[in-house]
Amino acid sequence: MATLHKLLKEVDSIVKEIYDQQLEAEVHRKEEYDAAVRIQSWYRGIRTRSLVKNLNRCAIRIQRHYRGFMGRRRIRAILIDSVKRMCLDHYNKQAAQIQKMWRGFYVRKYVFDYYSRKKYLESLVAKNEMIRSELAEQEEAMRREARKREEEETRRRLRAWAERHHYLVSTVVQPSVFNSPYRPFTLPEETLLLNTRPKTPPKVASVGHGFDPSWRQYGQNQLMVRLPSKLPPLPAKPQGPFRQPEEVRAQRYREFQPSLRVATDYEAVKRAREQWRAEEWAGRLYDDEFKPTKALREKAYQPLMHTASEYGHLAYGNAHFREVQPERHVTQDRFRTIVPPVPVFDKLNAEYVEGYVEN
Amino acid sequence: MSQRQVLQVFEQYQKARTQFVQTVAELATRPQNIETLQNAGVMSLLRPLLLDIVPTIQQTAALALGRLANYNDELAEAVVKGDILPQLVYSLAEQNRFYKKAAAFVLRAVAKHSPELAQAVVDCGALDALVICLEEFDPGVKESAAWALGYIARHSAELAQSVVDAGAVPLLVLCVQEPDLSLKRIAASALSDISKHSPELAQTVVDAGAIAHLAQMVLNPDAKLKRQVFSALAQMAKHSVDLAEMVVEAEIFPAVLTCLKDPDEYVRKNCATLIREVAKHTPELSQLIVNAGGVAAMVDFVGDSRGNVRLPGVMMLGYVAAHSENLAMAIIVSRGVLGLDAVLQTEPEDHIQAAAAWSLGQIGRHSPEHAKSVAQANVLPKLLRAYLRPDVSEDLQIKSKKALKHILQKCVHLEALEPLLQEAPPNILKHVVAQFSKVLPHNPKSRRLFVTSGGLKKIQEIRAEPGSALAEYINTINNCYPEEIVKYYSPGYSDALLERIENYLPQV
Repeated sequence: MATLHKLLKEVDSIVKEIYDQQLEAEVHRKEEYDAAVRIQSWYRGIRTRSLVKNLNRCAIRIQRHYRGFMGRRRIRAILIDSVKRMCLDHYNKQAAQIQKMWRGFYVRKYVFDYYSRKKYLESLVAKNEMIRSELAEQEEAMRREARKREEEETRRRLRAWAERHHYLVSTVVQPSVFNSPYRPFTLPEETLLLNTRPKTPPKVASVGHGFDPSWRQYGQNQLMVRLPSKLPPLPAKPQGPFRQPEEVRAQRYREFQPSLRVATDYEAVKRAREQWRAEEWAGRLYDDEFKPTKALREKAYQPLMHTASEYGHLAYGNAHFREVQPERHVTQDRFRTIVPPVPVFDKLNAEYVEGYVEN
Repeated sequence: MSQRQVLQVFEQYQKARTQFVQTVAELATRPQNIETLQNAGVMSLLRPLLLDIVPTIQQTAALALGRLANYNDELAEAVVKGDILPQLVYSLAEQNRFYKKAAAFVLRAVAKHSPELAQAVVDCGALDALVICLEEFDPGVKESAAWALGYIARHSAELAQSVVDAGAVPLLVLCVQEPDLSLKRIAASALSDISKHSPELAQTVVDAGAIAHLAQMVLNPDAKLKRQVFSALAQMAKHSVDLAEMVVEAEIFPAVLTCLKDPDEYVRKNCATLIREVAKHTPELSQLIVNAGGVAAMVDFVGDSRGNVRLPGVMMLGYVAAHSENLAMAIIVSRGVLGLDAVLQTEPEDHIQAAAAWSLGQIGRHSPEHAKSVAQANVLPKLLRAYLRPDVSEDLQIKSKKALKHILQKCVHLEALEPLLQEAPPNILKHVVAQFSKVLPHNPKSRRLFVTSGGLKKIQEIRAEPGSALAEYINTINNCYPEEIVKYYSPGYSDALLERIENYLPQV
């Protein structure tokens, strides 16, 4: 009971203490609650975080492994690809090298051969020189010929002039224009005139006399009756026994005695016929021809078979030289010959067909 | 009156007619009399004399008519209007050879003036009669008939076709083979006139075998004949490749080259025309001519001749060079560029200069080698001058500009390009500067030369619109040099330097 009493004495203090403690605890309840919540939340946080971290780690591990796997796979593919490409490049390069060599060779040999072109140009220059020299030679020859012809022409002209102007030559008494006393020298025309033989003007043939056989002298000037007394000079060679000069002269200057046939005009018969016809016509009274019998008078006109033929009238001769009328031929085929073909014609005449005759 | 007296009257009348017609024919040879004769009404007097019974009077009347019609086209029209032609054509078939010659002369004199008169001649049925005359034996008749046919065919393709349809061509080819020289000339000229219009006509002439006979006459000594022969061959060869090849197959080369030195200038001109027509079709034909030495002969021809005569030669060189660069090099090697340069310099006529410019352009445009050879002959300044002269024809301007452009686009020979920097107008300058901008970045020696020769200075002086091609090229060139050098040569640099003096504070 002492204890109880003690205790009862202390009850107030204990109750007060209890109240004080409760009050304190009440005061600190929120704090302690907050602190406890904080500790719990920290702890929960740790746990959750570590769980999540673990999960993350696992996931990352899985992803890492997976990515490595895919990456390696891709790299492998890329590697294979690049190796293939490298090989192809290599082959391409080698092929290009072959093609390069071939193309260079081909172009240099067949398309543009520098050395052969150089040689060609050099030979062209040489050929040009040759042609130039040849042409120059020919031109020179042509010029020479032309000059010669010109000179010949001038000489001929001067000679013709001199032959016609012989009267201009100077005489002893009267000096000519070309030999003028006022000039210190004679002109070359003077020498030219002196050196050329003058040409007499041509004899105009006498017109109008028809051929008369009774004329005794023919081909001679009618005014010149006298015959020359001297014969022309003999050539140098030795001559035999000579006839009498009168005989020779008579023989030489014998009159022309043409026969009647020679003497007749060529057209004489024709003219005579026409004259007779004209005279007969002029003297005729009746133009109708006399036919003795009735049969002759009333004979019907019978045309020639030649003209009445149904195949048409073939003109006498052809209308013109080398006329052909292929539409009137019996057939368009050509004739065959029995003569063998001439090989020369093949060369010369391209139209000649072997074995056939030309139309 | 007795018969004799009656006949005497007729004889007197006949003598009078003969004398009249012969005097008129003689007077008609002089041009000053023809006006008087026309005013005196000679046409109406001559017409009945054509129907005279005496053959001499007929022939002389026809001759007089021919001479009158020959003089001018009014008289020829009077002949046509007077219905004389049908009578002539009719009697062409009947009469003797003198009359035929005279009648063919009248037809030719009428037909030569204009296509309408030639058509009138054809409408009278003259062609058949003339073709029949071509079959005569007398060479004079054949010559007159061939001459008339040639004059008819000369005017137009239709008339030539009608001549061919009348069957004249084989007979003309036969006439060409005759020994008579004037007949050969006329027949060759007629063939030339027929074949010049169209390829079909030329083919007809070739089919008649004309080429072989014409080719045989190429070395004939007569100059006029050679003129016609070459003209005929040229007209045939110009239409197509096949015809040109057929002409060449007649083996005229190299004999034709000797005719390039003939003393007669028209022979030379026609010969050059023939070679040009053959060369222009294909490279193979040009190669054939070059291998026969044709280029050397042609260059000599161009050097020796003057004026219009050398125009075909100049064009031939251009055609040959245009085909391939091989042939252009062959021309350069044969001294063709010097020859063409001489033409460009010395010829007064614009069209020949234009042809020379064109040919030079064809030679130089193939490769830098060719352009260099052309530029080294000092041709570019001349072309530029030809382009810039104010009084030249448009043709020459266009051709020289094109030639310049072609050559400049391939020219890398810088010494030849520098003179052009000064004088060229902007459209040419851009090509010149383009070439510089191509060469300078790669060649240090040429860069140095460019600066020392004053080229860089000139470049700086060029004003170009920014963004144009010229500005780009100038930029490229400026980038080849360090900045100081570029600034040094730019215009106004000395002024800029002087200005710096003003702003400079002297350091004491």
